[in-house]
Amino acid sequence: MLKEKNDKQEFLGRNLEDAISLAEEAFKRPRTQLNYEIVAEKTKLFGIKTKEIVIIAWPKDATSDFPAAKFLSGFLSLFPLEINYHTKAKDDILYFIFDGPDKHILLRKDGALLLAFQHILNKMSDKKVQTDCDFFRKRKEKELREYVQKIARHVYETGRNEILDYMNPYERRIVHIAVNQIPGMTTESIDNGFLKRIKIHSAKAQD
Amino acid sequence: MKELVEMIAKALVDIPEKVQVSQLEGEQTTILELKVAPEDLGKVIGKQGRTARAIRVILGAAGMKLKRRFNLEIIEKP
Repeated sequence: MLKEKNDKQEFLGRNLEDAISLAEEAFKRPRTQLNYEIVAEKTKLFGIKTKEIVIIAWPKDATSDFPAAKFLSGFLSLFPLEINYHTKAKDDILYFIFDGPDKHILLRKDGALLLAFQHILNKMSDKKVQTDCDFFRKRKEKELREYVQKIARHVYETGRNEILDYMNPYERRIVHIAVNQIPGMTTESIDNGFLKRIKIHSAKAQD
Repeated sequence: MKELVEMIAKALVDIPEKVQVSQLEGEQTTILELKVAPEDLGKVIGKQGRTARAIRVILGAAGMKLKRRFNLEIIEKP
């Protein structure tokens, strides 16, 4: 091994096979789980002609083999926005976390572009995909939770039921949990379809 | 932008070889006509048009950066 650059390391071998074997040993991974680039091929002449090869090797991101990750990598090379991402897989969910100079465009209009990416990536993935940028989800969940708890308290004080705007299943789940934490208050989804409204009312009214 | 739409559509459909995208340039607007096999139409439109809407949002963001308007028309291939 020659030198280390973050996760990348240089390996010097008599041939490519030799250099890759050294990389396998150093990373304790088979070659199928490694990426490598040939940096230099040298021929030495000290009486006997010998060859040397230098490669840079680094471990493949475990998530880079997923179809959605492969698609996104190719897609962003054509997309005019300057955004990049990293992935992580956790609890059967594949997370794509975006960053970059144009990330503000991802977050415009209540994260419309971020959610559009999520929708498209989910269509081509057998794993559930979630996209995020700048803790968008966490912030949105907090805002929504605070908003509906305020409304629930108002319903509790006035006794008048409230019907919220149309929401997707992810938003509705947050609302149901947040409101049901307030003693005496409960929720109910109304309407049909992907987007539904939620009625907030007192638990007594339901009985 | 044509390649971008083509790439998305091919990743969504069952018959990628039948995906065709043509680009009509206007003064400020570019119309992208996406043609797919009839059996794949639902795949690019999605339930309640959500996939088509997502593609349009992506085009809108690209248009914002390029200062150009992109309209997506989905056409059923006969």
